[in-house]
Amino acid sequence: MYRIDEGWETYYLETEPERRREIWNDLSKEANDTVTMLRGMLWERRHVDPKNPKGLADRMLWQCVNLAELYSVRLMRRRTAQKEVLEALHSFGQEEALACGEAGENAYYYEIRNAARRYLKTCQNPEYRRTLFGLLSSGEKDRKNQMARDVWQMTEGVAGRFGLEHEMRFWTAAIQDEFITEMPSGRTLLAKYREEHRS
Amino acid sequence: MEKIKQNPIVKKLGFNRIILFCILILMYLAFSLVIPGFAGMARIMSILNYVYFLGFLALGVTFVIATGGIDFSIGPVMFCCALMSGYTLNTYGAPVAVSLLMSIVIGFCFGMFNGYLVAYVGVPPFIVSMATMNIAKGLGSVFTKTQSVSWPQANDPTGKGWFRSLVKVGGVPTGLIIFAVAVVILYIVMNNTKAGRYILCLGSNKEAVRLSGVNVRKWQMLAYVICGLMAGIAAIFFVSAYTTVQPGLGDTYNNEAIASCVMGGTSMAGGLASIGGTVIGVFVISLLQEGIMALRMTKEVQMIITGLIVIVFVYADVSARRRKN
Repeated sequence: MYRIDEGWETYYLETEPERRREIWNDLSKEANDTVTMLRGMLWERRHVDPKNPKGLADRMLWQCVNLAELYSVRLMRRRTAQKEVLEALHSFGQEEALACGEAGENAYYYEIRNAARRYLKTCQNPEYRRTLFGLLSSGEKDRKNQMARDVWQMTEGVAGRFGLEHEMRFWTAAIQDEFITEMPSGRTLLAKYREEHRS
Repeated sequence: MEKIKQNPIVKKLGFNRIILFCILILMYLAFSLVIPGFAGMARIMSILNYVYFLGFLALGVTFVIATGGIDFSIGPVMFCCALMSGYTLNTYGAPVAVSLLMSIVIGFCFGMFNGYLVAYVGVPPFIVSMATMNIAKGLGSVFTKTQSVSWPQANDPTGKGWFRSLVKVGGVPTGLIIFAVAVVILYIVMNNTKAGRYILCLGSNKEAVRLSGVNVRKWQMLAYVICGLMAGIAAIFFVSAYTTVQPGLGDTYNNEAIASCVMGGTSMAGGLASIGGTVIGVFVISLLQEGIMALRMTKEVQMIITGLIVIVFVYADVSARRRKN
């Protein structure tokens, strides 16, 4: 069972990277321990792009969209997809986080949840899944269902299709938990896609 | 039916594509039964002539639809390319190779124009492409002084007809080989490159892609540039297969190209594109056009049927999305 460490709630609820960095700077002055350093490292791994040091990237947010697409590529080779997913998990700093034990797992899980939170916010944008060649916005019901499908595809869908359930366990748990927290009907919708996939 | 859908091979190839392929075969058999002399090599070559230029148009527009946009200007742009380059060839005596290159460059410029307005200025794709459709028609007419342009025949004494070997050499459909190569390249671009993945992801969640640090404008513009380039190449295949190009036309091919994409499984909501499906869709539409012509129906009837097909497949796409959700 995961829990946010005391004092770090604001850090994990905030979705703007710059603001989160400021919060981390403030909190790290008080607690300069290994887990705090790990949190800083996870932030850097997620947002700093060596090719573009001026701008802030978001690797986890990108993988939210990318993995949902990866699931849909029909003739994707299993080994190529596995390599792509494992490289993504490595770039997040998964190994380093897990090496820190339970506290590291916790920090890693909440970092992914934060990315999921940011992703789910983008789904409120009118640009999300517009239909009829971009002419119409999706209705509320369609949007919710589409979000559920995307969340299922980027987690269980891709993990199941390419045999990466174990490697993606933190990713899957964090994103689905955030989705269920944000959307009350999320659990039912995910169960529906799970069932559909099983049949 | 569910058992068939869950079959690993069917899953890999796509149930809808298999159905579409079966429809294609059935249509060919039906036309062959109803129309005497329909089955045969001459008819197949005639269908292929249509496949080449429509195929390039449809492949190009698949990239735009994948981003969640649309391009209604592809047909007139193709005609504009054919008219302007043909007029340069005939009136200014430009070499054939230069004229063909000019066609691609004009298509590229239209793609840049559309892409810039959509991605950087933020004008809705529907409006941009409607405006470009008129610009392309007008430009083609003004450039050629509203006169039709005839491209040299294969046996032209000046030797300028060599470009017709792009579609056929003797009995060999060289166009089919070129088209197949283009399909493979575009399939790889769409499914196995960074550009393709960005284009698809733009169609599913543009805001998330932007916040990830991806230059969404660049990749959105690229989709329109590919579409414009394909229209320029389609123009080459159009003039290689047919002789005369008339100004002010081309918009009927928009519907056909878009119908090919949608029936092939490319989602109108973006984020999902099928190059293979588009190719089968192109064959279906081309066969249908040939069949209607063989039945001695007028061009107007062909337009009605194509329009109806677009409505049917758009409706099917919308209802399939509803069912999935």
